[in-house]
Amino acid sequence: MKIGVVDIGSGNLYNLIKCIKELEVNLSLVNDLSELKQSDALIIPGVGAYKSGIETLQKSNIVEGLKNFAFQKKPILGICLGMQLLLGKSYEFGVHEGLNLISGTVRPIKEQTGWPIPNIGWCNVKIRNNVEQPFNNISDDNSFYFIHSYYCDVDEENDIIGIIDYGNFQIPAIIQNENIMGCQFHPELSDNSGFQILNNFVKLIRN
Amino acid sequence: MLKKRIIPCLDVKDGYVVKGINFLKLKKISDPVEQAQIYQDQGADELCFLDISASNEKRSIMIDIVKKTADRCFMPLTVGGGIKDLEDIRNLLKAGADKISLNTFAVNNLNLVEKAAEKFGNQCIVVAIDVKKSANGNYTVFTHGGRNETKLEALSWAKTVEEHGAGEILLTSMDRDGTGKGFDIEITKKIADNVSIPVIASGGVGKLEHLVDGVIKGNASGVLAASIFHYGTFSICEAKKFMKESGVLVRL
Repeated sequence: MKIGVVDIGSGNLYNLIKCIKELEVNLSLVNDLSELKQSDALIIPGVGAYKSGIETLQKSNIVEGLKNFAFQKKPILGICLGMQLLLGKSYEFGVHEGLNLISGTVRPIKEQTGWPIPNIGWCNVKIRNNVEQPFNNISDDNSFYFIHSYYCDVDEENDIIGIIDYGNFQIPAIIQNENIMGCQFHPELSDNSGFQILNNFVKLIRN
Repeated sequence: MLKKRIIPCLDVKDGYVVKGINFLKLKKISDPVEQAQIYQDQGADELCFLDISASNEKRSIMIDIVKKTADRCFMPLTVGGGIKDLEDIRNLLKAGADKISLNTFAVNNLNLVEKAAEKFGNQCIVVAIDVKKSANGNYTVFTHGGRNETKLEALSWAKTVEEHGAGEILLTSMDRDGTGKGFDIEITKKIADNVSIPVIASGGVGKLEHLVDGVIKGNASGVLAASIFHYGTFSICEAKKFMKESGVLVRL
């Protein structure tokens, strides 16, 4: 059993890798197709810009591989930018095509929220009732760490598992369509609440 | 809802946590990694390391400290001090830093701030602004750990760095640093109300009321303090409880 962390080329994978190691599961950094095929579940982490993220996936030649992985119903968890890459397209500095595993568009958070942008800090995520693993046992008074200027405008209401109130605006914080999952926040930086989600995700492939 | 952040700051010199008054009179007080762990256990929302080492060799110690801290802590870590180029930023991010704070670097290389924001995302680029109020009431920006005065006026500089891709401003009043007299609310509010990126208030916290003032009167998104937490005057839990009782939304 192995979790693949997709290398999207930028920044800090240190914290995520440390968390997964604590869960005592095998881990590999995925930057080619053969590593991807050997994984039982994938995490697409997220720091950096949309364009460079998608370009790194293209250069590693794993865009189609990721889509097949999804089609085989194996679990994929996107974190922050990784979640945004799951959608169809993004308007971050131009227009860019995403993986289109969940229907929707990445857009800038509206200035009219009256709140600072980027959204940096801890927010309570309101999780809807009767959700499935790995988001089913998160406490109501949770806090997760967010750091983003763009958000996932998801087409299907059903794919939205949790939201945050940002000013007068609601931002999807957790999305899921069967085996495809995304968190706008960083579970690896979110103390106990975040660790719980990563633990749940690992359990998906342990069961 | 977005909660207000409490951010303990560790000034690190040659591998030790130090604290001064008005940016001077530095005193060694503890080991940074151990101190970071204590703050994590107390529920800090983020941690900030500012490297104030004088020489470049001593600075490489910082990478090691960041790694060791990231190994132990599950919270966001901002690192600043002495950053010269994109490579320094990359190395710190790789070591486990989540945000990089730039000060002198930003004043000297505004276009590099833009490049860094493009490369690593603007959410990870914090611009630290150290200000001093002059006799005519204007606020002037200082660099090099408060040693060099610039011609920059604080608010216009804050707007400039926002335009050039900074994702957050860490605003420190040099007049208040280490004095325990509270934040300079005037400049905090002025900047927080006139930029759209988050502003973190810093410099001068001596009482828990000051933290509340920073977010309620100063409109800061977060508050940073060093001495009151270092010397154990108050724990971060106590600070958060006090803020909650004063009507501030915090993570408990």
